[in-house]
Amino acid sequence: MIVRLLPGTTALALAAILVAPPLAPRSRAADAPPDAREIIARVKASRAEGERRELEMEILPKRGRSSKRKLVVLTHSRDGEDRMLVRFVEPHDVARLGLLTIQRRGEEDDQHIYVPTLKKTKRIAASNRTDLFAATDFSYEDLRAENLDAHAYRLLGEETAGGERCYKIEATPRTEEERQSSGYSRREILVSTKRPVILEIRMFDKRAGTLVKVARFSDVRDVGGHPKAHRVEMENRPRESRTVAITTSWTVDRDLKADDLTPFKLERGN
Amino acid sequence: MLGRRPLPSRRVPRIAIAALLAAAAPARADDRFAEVPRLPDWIRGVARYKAFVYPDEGRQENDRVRNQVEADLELAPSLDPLLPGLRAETLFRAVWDDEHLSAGVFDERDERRPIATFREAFLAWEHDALELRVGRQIFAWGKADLFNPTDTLNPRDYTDLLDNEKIGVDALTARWFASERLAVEAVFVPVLFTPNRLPPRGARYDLVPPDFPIRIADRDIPPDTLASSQYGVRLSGTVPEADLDWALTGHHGFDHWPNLKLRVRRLPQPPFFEPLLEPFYKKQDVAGLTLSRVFGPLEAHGEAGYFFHSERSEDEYVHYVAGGNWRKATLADDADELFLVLEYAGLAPTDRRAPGVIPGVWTTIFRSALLARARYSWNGGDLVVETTAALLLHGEDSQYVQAKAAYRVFEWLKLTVGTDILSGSKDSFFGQFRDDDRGFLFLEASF
Repeated sequence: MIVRLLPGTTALALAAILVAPPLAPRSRAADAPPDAREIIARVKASRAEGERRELEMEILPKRGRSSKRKLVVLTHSRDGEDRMLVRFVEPHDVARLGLLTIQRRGEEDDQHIYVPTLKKTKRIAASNRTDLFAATDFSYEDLRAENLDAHAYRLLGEETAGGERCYKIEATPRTEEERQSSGYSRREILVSTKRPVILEIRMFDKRAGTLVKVARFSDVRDVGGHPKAHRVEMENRPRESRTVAITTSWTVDRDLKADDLTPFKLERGN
Repeated sequence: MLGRRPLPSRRVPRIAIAALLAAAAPARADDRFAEVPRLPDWIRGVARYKAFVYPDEGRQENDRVRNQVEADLELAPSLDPLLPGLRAETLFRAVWDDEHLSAGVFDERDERRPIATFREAFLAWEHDALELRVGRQIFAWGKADLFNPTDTLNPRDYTDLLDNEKIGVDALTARWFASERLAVEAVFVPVLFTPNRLPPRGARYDLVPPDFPIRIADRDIPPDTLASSQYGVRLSGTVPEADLDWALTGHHGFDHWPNLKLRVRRLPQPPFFEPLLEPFYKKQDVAGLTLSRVFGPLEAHGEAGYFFHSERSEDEYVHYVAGGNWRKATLADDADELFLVLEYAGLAPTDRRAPGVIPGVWTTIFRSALLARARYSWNGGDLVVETTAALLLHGEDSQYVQAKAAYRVFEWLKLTVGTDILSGSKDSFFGQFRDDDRGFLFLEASF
């Protein structure tokens, strides 16, 4: 494999490119279909252990006024444990409110909230995965890291999304727990054939099997050697609304440890 | 084209810049997130207008309308360049009202609330698992939602009994995050004791009835000596496998509510003697235990404080609260949420009262009480309707209900309207204020 060194490419990005195999495994025969699960696993692995994002979300309902959220999101993933701290910056009446979610493999989520007006951190009943996050069109399920063990993946073919050729992969709940808790009967995930990044997800309703949501990812930029979509537009068909999420800053946080994302430290500003 | 309105808050000056951009720039899909000059995130502020309207003059024959204006300025800059891990947090408050409930500046021990003060102002330094704080701080111990018997470190400002808040104390705090399952916190409040601020005499919700036959003397505040220092310790833990949080707390200090001592003052002329009630503040120790566990959509909690005294000369009792909260999202719409809280607060005496001390009824209002809250939030908080109720079951029944609705007019402007209703017999705690029901309107602009 020939890697052309681009001016300005960081050592880390280079390392990532050199270490990571291309998205479609080359060990297979050129015409052999790539393994769908492996493609999704590659996408999931394409992230740093600790990341910090600053997000602006705008909810655009069909009727009524639009509303905005500004958030700082810290994530830490290691050994099958994913931690996510969402800190609200705007609207002002909820500024500094923090929501910590800890996902452990095979366990219910742990969720803690810090309410700045009360200066109190509380354990709360974990949100249903189908609940909407902060009244956006993203459900908690949409924000979770992909659970490879809980899904079956099947390559349906190739399709173009966001101007790029993509693998079209169907993900269906494989475990009974996933079938129960997920709001979707299946998802169609479009992953770029060139790089480990998702460019579109179509989500189908659990009951009727109809298309309920479409997430379109764009503005892919390199973050610590990993391609990251900085713009996501989620179209929610039953609600007739859209949420546009723009990542204004996305950095690898090498100092971020799992111990920094604990209920005790929710009170801190981060 | 959707969403052309710029983010209204934290942009300076919002309207002018937004108008300029809208006129000058062609509309594109992501213009809504275009970079506009902003105040840094560590500067925040709120300007608040409050109007209280009373249908009755009440037992103190007060004005029927009170207008109040408040301004909060919150600064939380990182001071990393000075010392890695160092930051400051300050919350400055200015308040004015047309009932003259405020006076003076910066003195949190004054019987009147200050016109200008720092509610919080501290330096915090973090290094690895250690955090140190020095300065004026507000603490929040306990996991219960509506009443926390173990949350005894801060006094409260009851200038308006129904619109009260904590008063910051000047303290040194050390926190050690021993692991992700255990944290230890030690608090030292040196020398200065700050009592609860009570409603001023003659004001609405004055805790002393207007026809009270005995004169109340000046407060006897503990002297500003090292012996008046207070300290507290909290061990907090979390057990993820059991969905359980716990805390053990200890506080050696004072009851922030006054007790009353009967004294007799000599007079130079008949009747030669005058009885006086002197408010004083007794030392107390509080050992607390808090538990909180999640059962599916229900969070259940229990919190108890054992109040005792080193000298064993005062009442000893256990004040506790038990209850839970339940929340349900996606009711009428996917972005709505219902949140319910129900708690029972009780008190179990464990030792007798000292002779000569008149029971401090305010200390233990929730001797036996049901507390409840129901909140419905539409579209992520654009409209929130909330009702809170306290039913006192001890002695003469009395009730307090607050109902309010808060509407986010813009992301930087919130309008709240509501009512406070008090009922019960005249001799009961809330019933004594049954002619002081009110409606209120708050308008809150933030940047």
